Amino acid sequence: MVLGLTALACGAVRAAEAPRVMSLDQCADQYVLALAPRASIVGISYRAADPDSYLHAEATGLPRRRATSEAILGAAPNVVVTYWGGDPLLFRTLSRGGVKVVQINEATDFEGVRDNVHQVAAALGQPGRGAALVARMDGQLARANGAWRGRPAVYLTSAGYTAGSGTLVHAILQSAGLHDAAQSSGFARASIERLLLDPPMALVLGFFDRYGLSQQNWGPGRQGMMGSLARTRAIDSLPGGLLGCPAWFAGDAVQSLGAAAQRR
Amino acid sequence: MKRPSLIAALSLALALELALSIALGETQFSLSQYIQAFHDPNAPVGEVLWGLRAPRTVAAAVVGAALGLSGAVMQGLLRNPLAEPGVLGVSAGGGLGAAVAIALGLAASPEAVEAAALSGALLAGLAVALAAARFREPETLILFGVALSAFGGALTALVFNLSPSPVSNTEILSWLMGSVANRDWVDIARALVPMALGAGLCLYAARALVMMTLGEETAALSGLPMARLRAAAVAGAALLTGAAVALAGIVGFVGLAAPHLVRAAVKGDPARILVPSALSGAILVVAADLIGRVVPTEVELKLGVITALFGAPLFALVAWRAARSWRG
Repeated sequence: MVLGLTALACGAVRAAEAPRVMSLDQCADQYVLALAPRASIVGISYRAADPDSYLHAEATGLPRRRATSEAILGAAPNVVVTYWGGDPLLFRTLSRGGVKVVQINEATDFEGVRDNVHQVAAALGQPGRGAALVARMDGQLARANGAWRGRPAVYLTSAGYTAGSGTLVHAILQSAGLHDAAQSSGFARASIERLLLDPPMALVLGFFDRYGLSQQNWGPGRQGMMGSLARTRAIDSLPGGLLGCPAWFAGDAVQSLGAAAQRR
Repeated sequence: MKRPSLIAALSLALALELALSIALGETQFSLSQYIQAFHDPNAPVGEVLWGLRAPRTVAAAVVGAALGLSGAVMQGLLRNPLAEPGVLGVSAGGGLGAAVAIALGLAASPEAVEAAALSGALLAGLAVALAAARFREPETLILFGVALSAFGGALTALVFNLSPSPVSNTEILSWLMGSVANRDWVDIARALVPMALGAGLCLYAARALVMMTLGEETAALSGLPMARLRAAAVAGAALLTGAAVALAGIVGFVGLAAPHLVRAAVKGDPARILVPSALSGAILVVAADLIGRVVPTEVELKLGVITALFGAPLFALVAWRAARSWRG
């Protein structure tokens, strides 16, 4: 009881000391929900509680706001967190209003993810929480390291895209010991002809929790053989919530692939 | 209604709308907070009213006036009620310039995207002005503009196609849908320079619009330097549209609809419709921006989306009433 009260009191003090923070998009929501004391969060995006939001359960009860200058300045945050890109004019307005804008960079490897976590954690005055998230991710990477022993695999999303070098997905596959057999770098449309004529040893599916292959009218599922290929060659299906944002939970994707290797 | 009365009525309506657009927004204030905003402009309420809403409202008015004036000049010059700045490819040129700048990663510097948009629009405008000097027939100029517009659209689609990142594509799409959010006084002042030049050229070319109503041959016999006036009209419309696109992205339909909203009240001389068209364009865009802010959607509605959503049915109604009057 005393311990609980002390912890509550400490939490309240920390929240009082922490900067008031708001996140502008679903990716930034994850960072803010994981790193900031709940009482210091003055706004999150409307997509924070969507099913594909990694921390959607934590979003319940927090104020959701538009990413407009009027809504943001009305909430009076000290720090605003946003995924890279966005409206530079909005950021200019916020900076003039004395709001610090922290941008999450488009990480293409785990070092980039670590930098993102440390950067946001520092801006929110929570370096310890940031270090804990990075340690959790690094533990997942260490446990799954090389699990697939170089087996060639191609990543395929439900919309028919694949990912090659220069993407975080590529780093995820490599960390699990898979050889990314994508022909091109970056995100690109998968060649259905090539996939059908020369099927990969293994497929890693992405975003199939949101849309099954056959539900994407313009995706590869229109080809009946692709459906059968996805069913027979898939070694794992990674939910969209792990893939849409370059964050520490990319480690969950590696862990999932590692667990799939152990199940074989 | 006589023209001075129409201009006075439109000016009054615009002034009331400007006040309403500054007073209303996504946050509601009490009377005491409004009073506080007047007494202390640096208070949070004052910042919202004068720092956020006022510049975007004025930006909307400036963009609408430029597009309305440009549309009236195009319709008079081409003697075609369906003409508008977009049909000549100027908007598409501006959109292409902005898309290339964003895809190249220049979005972090706001001036770079706006400069690229203005450059793209002016390049397209230069091509149209050259065509206007070369071809006398308005139909040829329209067809040239349609081809230029389609080419600009295709190149923008190519930028989407080759873009390495879905985030860039989202940014380009967002920009193309048009917005005056977060524009400040410096942005407006920067756009006003080419707009003033364009308006000057359009007013200089206004006398040619009267002669154009009498036909190409009569206009050629009038003694007016028709080729020069035609090129000035096109260049002026291009400058107005280019600066509007650079300031707010692509805001469609205003150049087409604004002249028609006042045409019934200003019959005869197409030069007399220029100022009323600019005012009605300003009223349309300020109203669209206000609607975008107060409709409680999760994401703010984009300006270009609203002008088309509300402008198209309104325009159909105006066209229907005009058709009835023609039959009568």
